[in-house]
Amino acid sequence: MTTVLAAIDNSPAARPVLLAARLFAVLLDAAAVAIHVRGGPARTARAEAAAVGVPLRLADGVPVDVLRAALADAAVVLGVFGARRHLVGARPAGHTTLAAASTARKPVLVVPPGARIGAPGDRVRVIVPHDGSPETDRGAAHARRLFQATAVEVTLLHAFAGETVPRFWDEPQHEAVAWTREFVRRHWPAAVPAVRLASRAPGSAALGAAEAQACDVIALVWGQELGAGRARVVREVLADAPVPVLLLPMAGSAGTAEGAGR
Amino acid sequence: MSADRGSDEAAGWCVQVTDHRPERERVDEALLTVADGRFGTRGSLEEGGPGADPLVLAAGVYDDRDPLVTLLPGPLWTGLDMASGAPVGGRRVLDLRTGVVVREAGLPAGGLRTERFAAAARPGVAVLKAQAPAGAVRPGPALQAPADDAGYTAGWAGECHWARTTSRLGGGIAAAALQRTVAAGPDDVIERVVALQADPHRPPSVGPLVEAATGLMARGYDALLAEQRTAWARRWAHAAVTVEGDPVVELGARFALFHLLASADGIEAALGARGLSGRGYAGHVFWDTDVFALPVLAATRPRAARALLEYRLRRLPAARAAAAARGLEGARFPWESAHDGSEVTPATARHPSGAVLPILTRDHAEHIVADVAWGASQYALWSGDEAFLAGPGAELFSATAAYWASRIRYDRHGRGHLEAVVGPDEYHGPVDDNAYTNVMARWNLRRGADVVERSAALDGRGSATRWRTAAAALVDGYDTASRRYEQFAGYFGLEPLLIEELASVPVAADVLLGVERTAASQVIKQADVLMLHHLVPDETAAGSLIPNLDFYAPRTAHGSSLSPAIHAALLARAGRPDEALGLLRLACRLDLDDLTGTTAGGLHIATSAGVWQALVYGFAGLRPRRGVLEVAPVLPQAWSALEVRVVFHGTPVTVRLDHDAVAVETEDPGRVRVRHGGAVHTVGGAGRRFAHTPKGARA
Repeated sequence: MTTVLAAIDNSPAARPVLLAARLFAVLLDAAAVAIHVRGGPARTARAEAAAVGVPLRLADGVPVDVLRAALADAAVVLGVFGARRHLVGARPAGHTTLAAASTARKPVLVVPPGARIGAPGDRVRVIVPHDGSPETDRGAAHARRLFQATAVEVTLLHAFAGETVPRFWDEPQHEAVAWTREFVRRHWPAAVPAVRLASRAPGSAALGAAEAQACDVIALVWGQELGAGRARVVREVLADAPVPVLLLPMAGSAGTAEGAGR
Repeated sequence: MSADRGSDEAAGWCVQVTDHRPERERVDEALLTVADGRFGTRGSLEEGGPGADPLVLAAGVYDDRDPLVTLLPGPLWTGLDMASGAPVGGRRVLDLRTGVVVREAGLPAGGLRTERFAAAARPGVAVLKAQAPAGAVRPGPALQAPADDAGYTAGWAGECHWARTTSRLGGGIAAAALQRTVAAGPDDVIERVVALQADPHRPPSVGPLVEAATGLMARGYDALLAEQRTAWARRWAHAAVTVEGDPVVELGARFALFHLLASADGIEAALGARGLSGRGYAGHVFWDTDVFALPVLAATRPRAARALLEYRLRRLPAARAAAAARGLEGARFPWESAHDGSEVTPATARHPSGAVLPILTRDHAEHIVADVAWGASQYALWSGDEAFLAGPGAELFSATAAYWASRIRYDRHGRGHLEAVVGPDEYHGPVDDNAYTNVMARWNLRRGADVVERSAALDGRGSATRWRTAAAALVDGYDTASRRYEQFAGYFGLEPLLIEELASVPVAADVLLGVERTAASQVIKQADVLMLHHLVPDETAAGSLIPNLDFYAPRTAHGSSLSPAIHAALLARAGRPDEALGLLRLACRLDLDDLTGTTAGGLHIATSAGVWQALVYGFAGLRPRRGVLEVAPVLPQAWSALEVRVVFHGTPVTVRLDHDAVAVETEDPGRVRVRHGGAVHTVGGAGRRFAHTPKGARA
């Protein structure tokens, strides 16, 4: 059976991570399993896992190495990590989380402390910023595979800013319809997600949608590093998102048809 | 997308697709559309597949299943069963000379070749031929349902497959198809003939189509193809353009003209903003038709232009009702028109900023009234159709003039104003005394006065005098000191933002800057004042083109696909042809390179027409005046020659321009008079050649 792996620390910040793992496990028809790398008695980790009802595996070793290995298990379809221990803490996210996510060839959900997580069976609204590039298409394919035949409501978010401002926008009463119809067909085929257009920077647009309570998860395609370029959006959203952020690797994933072909 | 270039003549007449990418497929389908003016069929792959959006449309047949009234899809006729496996590789070529799309691809067992066309010689007939190793391709159903159900029904009449879609508005599109497979050595050859009929008011009967299909099959593919070649050769004989030294513009212009020539036919033709190549813009008819497309067809296929006018004439009663509903006289055409002439512009739209905005053109873009009249005048000038001018044309000019006369508000000084309008620049509105609207209304009033004075059927004397008085009273925003027109009252007081300093144009400035900031600035969407210099140069102050061009061009974002070609034309008229080339080439490539991101929904008819207008009205300086064809060329250095073919007063005329001379030839010696360099000459049997020196601005 496939699993959703929650990597938790020994703090109350583990609770939303566990809740998110349980929610997505139901969504993906998988089993939720938690893992904690011991640095001591792990009482809080045990208590939180028990409270949410997610089986907990205790492991020893270097946390990053252990978590990378666990995430690489073929049965794991999604990793769930905490962004940081406290509301005010490491920005954009903690070292362990970023290190594990940067090498994972599968989606990783980063959950901020204090995030409101729905109950199993709740609908989940996912906003997917998409700039229309082939790189984003590759990463978005992870999301399409993950969410197919699920109760996830997907909204593509395209931000017109800088280079992506359209050259022409003829009659607005028709242009948006024509443009979004073609955008969806190119970048999210075989489905009919909603499309949200924005005329500000993509990071700001995604955070705005989250703050307006128009989504439960922000799904970002990233190159698995936080240097310059599009990673600026990932840093911004990870740092300030009030909702979980689903990181989708731009490269193909291991153990999938797409990954095998690349 | 590639387009062969170089010295091979065929290369300048072919649009070729050599790589198949699902995300690009819908664009290619639009580019490879075949149409006969009544029906259009997108260039979809015969096997369909990822990304495909096959579609058959009939001009003027609308449905209201969508929230918007939109074009009804018809039965599909291009499907084939690739029994041995999906084709791979290869290319598809649209031959603009013949209107035939040829596809070559690989199959597991060998090669596939298909040919298809919409019969120009027989509007309402479509033909498909496929050749492949025996058994590799099977015909499959000759007709299939469109992706939208559209009330699809189908059946058999003997060996003839028929199908029909029906509109909730009462109309429908019907098809009857016959096909056969014959052996040709190791290959099978599949031939399919399709007879199509459409009616906007009632579902067409199938019986006559079955009979027609039988006759077509008896005629045979080769004979139908020969007719097709002849028909298109005849069209190009009256419409071809040649641009020596600029293969990009030459191919772009021919591509644009091809689709325009195939866009209208019959007695009445509704030409939507995306023609017959897609359902973008819901198939609604805008000023794109009257101001952009109609002049092209008036000069190359006058009967097709007359069909576009008939569409408007049959909706004159609705336009009169719309005027009356506003307490006004005459006729008020809708900004967006579909089946019955009522206003079908959506009331609101969501801007990318998230704001839901009212669509102001719906209630305020009244310049459409004068635009319709202007299109009619272009038809009359090119065709010399006196019967039109004396009959329905007179009614049209009279009704539109009456509208303006009743619309004007007079101040205490007796000056006339048109308030709360939206001009071509839709970034600002509603505004008062938009120069474009006022000057076009003035032209319309004067034209209406001319007509009623000559028409015995209309009560002329009183109206003509009143209309001329009203025309004279209308303010136009012209400042004699600066020789500029103020685009609307208060425009010069807006933030003097130059869009060129903020972004590379073209750019959708309202998306870049936001709607409010744009409206508060002098940034404009497209040619507005400058559109006057293009459409009615005689109505503009002498010597005002360059001052207005220098002022408004840096403020023009070209956020409308209609804009670049018009500016190219005006730069040429201003004696800056080299500067015009960038914008002209942009317009030429707009659909070929999918610069809007929306070509998948259909080709941009107005842009295509703008390319022709830039070449003919702009660079060639070719204008129909009353009974005289005026020519005043301005060619860029990169072009060694420009040749255009038109039909003037029923006579085909070829005009060839190079940097030294103008040569005019006609098939009917003595019938064509040409004005060049201020003198009028009659073109005789040997043609006429005028020495020509490059000139600066003519206005």
